[in-house]
Amino acid sequence: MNTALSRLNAVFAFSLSVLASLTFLCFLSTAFVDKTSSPSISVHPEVILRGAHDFGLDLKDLATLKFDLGANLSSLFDWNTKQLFVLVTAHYRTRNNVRVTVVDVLPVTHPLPQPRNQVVLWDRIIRRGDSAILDLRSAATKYNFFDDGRGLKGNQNMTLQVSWNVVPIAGRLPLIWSSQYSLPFPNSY
Amino acid sequence: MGNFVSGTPLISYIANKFPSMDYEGQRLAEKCYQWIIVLFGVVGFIWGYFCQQYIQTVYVLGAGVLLATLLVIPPWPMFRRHPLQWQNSRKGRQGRQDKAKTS
Amino acid sequence: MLEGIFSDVSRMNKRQKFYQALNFGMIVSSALMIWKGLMVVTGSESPIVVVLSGSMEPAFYRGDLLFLTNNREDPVQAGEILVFKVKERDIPIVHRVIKVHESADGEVKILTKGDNNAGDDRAGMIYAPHQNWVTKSEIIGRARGYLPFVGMVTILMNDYPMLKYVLLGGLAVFVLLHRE
Repeated sequence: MNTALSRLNAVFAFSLSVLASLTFLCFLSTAFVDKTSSPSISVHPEVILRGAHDFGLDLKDLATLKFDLGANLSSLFDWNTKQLFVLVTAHYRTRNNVRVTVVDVLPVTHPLPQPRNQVVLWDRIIRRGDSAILDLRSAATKYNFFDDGRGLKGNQNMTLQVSWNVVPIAGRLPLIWSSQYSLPFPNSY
Repeated sequence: MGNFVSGTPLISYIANKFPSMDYEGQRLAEKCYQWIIVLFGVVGFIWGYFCQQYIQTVYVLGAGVLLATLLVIPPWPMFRRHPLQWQNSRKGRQGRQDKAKTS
Repeated sequence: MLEGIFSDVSRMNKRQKFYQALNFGMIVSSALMIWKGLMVVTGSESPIVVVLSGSMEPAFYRGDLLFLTNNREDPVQAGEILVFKVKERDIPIVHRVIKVHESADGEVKILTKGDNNAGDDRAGMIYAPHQNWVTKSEIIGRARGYLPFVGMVTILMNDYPMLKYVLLGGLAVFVLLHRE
């Protein structure tokens, strides 16, 4: 039986499979492209610390800081990139993380998870067609930098790191980290 | 009479309004849409890669699908150039059963 | 068309009918096997999810498909896209991690936010009442792969439940009654 309807169905099904194959080829053509870059970040020295309420009743450490960020991420856009999600994240250990010492003593190959705190301070979506050049000067953080306790004061292992999540048209969703910027915190509120 | 379509009345009404393709026409139509869509797909892929915009690939493929649809869905005369040579109907039930099988 | 399908059945003998039923069972069980296999490989209880809300636009739209993994050795990182369940919500949430606090005993507290939402999920009342963090046990997986539009059928089935029965019923009827 061959009718207009059955032909329409066949054409539709065939086009869909061609579209699926093309999309897969597009994914393959970009699967091994390097998605790294080297942005620069620096923080203005005046980090202000205080205790404040985030949620609940406990007082928590809240840091206020300003940072500069320069990056040219244009090279990350290819024909399988829908958008970039760029983040500035603070990484640090606090006294609660007793296991730090344990990990340091153990051989590096030991698969224990690193005790850690990660707080996103700022993010931006760069869509296809937007300018992928970031040049921020003394920008304020987008989110409040609250610790989950009082672990920010005098914290000496604080680092800031720029990362980006590449959102493709179809394919993998990698989260790529760039180099760390070390930032010792003040000893007083 | 070989093009009778059963099913819901509306669908069969619409379908019977169209004259149907002959077997040669069906083969040709199938080849037609497959070649058109694959060709547009390949061209679109190259064009999209050149522009570094995957959406261009999709547009070109879409144009190919549209073209194929227009070319292949209506039973154009070029798909009806090899009509079946039916035998003259024999009298009685025998003939009718034969027809039902081929439809 | 319908008459044609049923005429197929009427021409089958008992053995062929059993064969059809077993064939249908095999399709269902292979689908299940693939799903369970993916669960083992990815470590996630639901390795493929469909995005059901617009809270992650413009990264993900309704009907997009996400592939998840949930390896224990691979800790949750800020910036990753997390899929997690919340008490008293049927649908898992797909949001980005913006805070991770991992304490000494391995307990993890995670705060999430939808890219398209103004505030985080604690402020946005996405979590259950009095819930402040997402914890390990609530994690379904981390998004590792992405395919657009493919889950649209699921969205339609979710929005129009009748369609689900019609589609699944139709598929079952087709497989059961159609002779190969």
